[in-house]
Amino acid sequence: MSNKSVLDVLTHSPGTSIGVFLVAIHLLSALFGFLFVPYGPTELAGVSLLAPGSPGFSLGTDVIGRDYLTRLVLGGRTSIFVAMLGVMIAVVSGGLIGVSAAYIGGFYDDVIMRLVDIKLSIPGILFVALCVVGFGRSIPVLTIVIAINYMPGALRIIRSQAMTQVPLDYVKSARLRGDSKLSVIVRELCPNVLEVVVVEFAIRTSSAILAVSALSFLGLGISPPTPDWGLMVYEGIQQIYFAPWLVLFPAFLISTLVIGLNFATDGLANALGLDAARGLD
Amino acid sequence: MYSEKKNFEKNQINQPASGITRRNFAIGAGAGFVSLSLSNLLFSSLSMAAQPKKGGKLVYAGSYLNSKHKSLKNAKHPYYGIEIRTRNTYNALTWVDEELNVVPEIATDWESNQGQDVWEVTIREDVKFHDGRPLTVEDVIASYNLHKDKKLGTSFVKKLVDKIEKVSTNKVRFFLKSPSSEFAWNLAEYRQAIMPAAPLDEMGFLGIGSGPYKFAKIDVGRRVIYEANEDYWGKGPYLDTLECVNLPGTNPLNGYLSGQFDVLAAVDPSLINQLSATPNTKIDIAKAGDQIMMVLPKYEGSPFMDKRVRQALTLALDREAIIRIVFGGKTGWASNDTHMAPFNEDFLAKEPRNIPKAKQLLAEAGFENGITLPTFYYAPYVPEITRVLSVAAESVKEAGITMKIEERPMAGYRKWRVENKEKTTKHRFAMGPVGPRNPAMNLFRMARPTYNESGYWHPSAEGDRYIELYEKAMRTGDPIARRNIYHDMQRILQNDVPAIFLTGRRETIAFRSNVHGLKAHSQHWSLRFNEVWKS
Repeated sequence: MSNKSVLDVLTHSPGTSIGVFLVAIHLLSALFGFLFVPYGPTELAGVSLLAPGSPGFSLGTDVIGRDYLTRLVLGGRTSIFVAMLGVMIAVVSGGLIGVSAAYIGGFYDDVIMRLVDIKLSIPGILFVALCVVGFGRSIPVLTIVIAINYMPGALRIIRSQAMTQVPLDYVKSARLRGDSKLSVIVRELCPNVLEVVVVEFAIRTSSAILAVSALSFLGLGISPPTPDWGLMVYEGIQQIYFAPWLVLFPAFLISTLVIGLNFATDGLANALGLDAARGLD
Repeated sequence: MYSEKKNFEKNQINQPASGITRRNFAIGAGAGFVSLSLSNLLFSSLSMAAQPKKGGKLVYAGSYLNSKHKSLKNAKHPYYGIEIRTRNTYNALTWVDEELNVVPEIATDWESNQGQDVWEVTIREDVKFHDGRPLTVEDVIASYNLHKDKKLGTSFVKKLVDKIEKVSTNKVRFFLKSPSSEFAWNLAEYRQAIMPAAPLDEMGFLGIGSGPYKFAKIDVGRRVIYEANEDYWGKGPYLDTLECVNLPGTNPLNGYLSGQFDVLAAVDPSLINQLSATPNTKIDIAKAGDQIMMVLPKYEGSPFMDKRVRQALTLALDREAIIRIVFGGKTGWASNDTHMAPFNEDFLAKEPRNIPKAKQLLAEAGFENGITLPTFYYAPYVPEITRVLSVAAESVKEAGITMKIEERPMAGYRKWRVENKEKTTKHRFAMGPVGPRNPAMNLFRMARPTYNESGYWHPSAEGDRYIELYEKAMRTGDPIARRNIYHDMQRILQNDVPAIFLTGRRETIAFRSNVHGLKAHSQHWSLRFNEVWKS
């Protein structure tokens, strides 16, 4: 499908447009929100638990008097960064290994796929939680753990796409030309699985954002006092009977980002002629 | 009622000027009868409020799980109780009451020699164990032989008690390894339960004590159900059944608000105002409670090897802001860099926050542009801990100190924070919860250079001087003279800052208005339920 027709599909589908709009808003807010927020994210700017609409604090304050608007605007930054970077590492490394397994085949392919089966048999959130407990809650640890967690699923999908390409004439030609295995994998196969890689990245990013938020909610993700939506839901849950907005606002933002990503991914997959509805492995 | 009153007034207005009509007499008599009945009802309910009522079940929920409460085999043992609240089933020789006085329990009297190293304790003679056996001097001796056993015993007794012997049928004598002028406080510690005599490795596992409640059912790590000990020697118990539920996070609050629980222990300070406004709820706040200690690890390469960094950190912390923001100004208190709490008469307030001085100290230590400390680790021992540390971390920024904080799971935290198990000095920059006790026991914790929970000393002259003073205080019988020594000890700690004590909480409980006789206790492990009843 040409670039023009991809753009056409993206702009002519209302669901996709809404998705792209939501994702764009969240990304812009994560990237440039710090320029517009009235206070620092950890600054003890007011008294505790001011209701939304209070003077100087349009969305109120949290339980220790930090401006809630500021924390909400900046609260997606870490999750989005960790999820995107982690999934990017997962998809790129998984893609390279998957394509190489599809091309080389044999024992190498068997070993790779059995390792993937073993990893996929472990529940994702449990795996991430155990790693975080063992290695700490730092952002590098979270990123690497997210990458390891999402790599096997991406690897399997990309490998299956690469398998459809390996018997094709252009790959045979490259081999007969005397190209090395690395050259065939990098120069011939990888560009032809790129569409799957892009869709994999989009799908798994929305799942990873939910995972990072869930970890923070469980007290295993991003450390306080860094603003993070999942952590804010966790911190607000004690006050849910008396200050429900502390939970509702960050939960709303997590939902809109994930819905946006899912809508946008569906549209992108349709535009690329792929089936995004097959779900995650 | 309103219409009756209106009719009555109307009839009064219409009554003839002379005499009382039969109708008015009947109305008057009726009104009098109603008044009498109402007053009777009122006074009877008032008398009910004063008179404890027997029967009923009380469920209290908290989140202070004793990490040692792990199996059915040891769940009844006083060392492994679900919430270290052993006082439901066991008695000790003394008890620390809600006013933080040491008062008799199984002991009626105690007396020391001049040197404070031999103590004679007289015990009650009317006490029976749950199995009907009378509690004797032999049981006290056997219990303390367990407590002082090198392998099985408790930390305080192991370090303090050398020998215990029978003096008479109601008197025992303790020989201490070193003098302890406030030994009666040690006797109140929660693990020092009196149990029926038995071989040491069998003692305590049957759960037979002499306390107001007996074990009925245990769901390990989650719930214990107790039933009343009808032969209890003291006041009460009034409840038929007492149930202790231990749940993490917000579950105790949810259970309380939904009516499942009668008592909510360890209330989050941010909820006090809201809970006070909840119908049929009473709040009780104790004098003090646990405080947060920051262990400053001292080994080669640690920034805390430099005293000026330790001093700068404590001077930069805004304790007043923590009390104002996290505790609403009511339920927190500023620590003084010792284990002492302000309810101790001997508490010596520390130097107030001083940012210029903190910056100057850092500059002298070579950190003119500020310092980034190692990550400070903590576990959720109390619900407000993250908020306390968030405010703390924010407050030290003003002095150029960056302090990242990171929460770790409760499970395994105590062991995890000591990086090198062989060498306790290799400790992480991490928090430890400290319970409030009397000066002798508080300051004793700092008198052990290698005790890893105490913010140990790096070998130094100040540390040696501190230990000398502690030993002197323990030899001093006169409380006034002791107080001066305690002040000197606190001055050493405040100057050398071997550890930082941030802020403390005041233990707060919330309970239904039909629960009576329940008081919050600064030592949450000393909370008792024998005089609690429900109307």
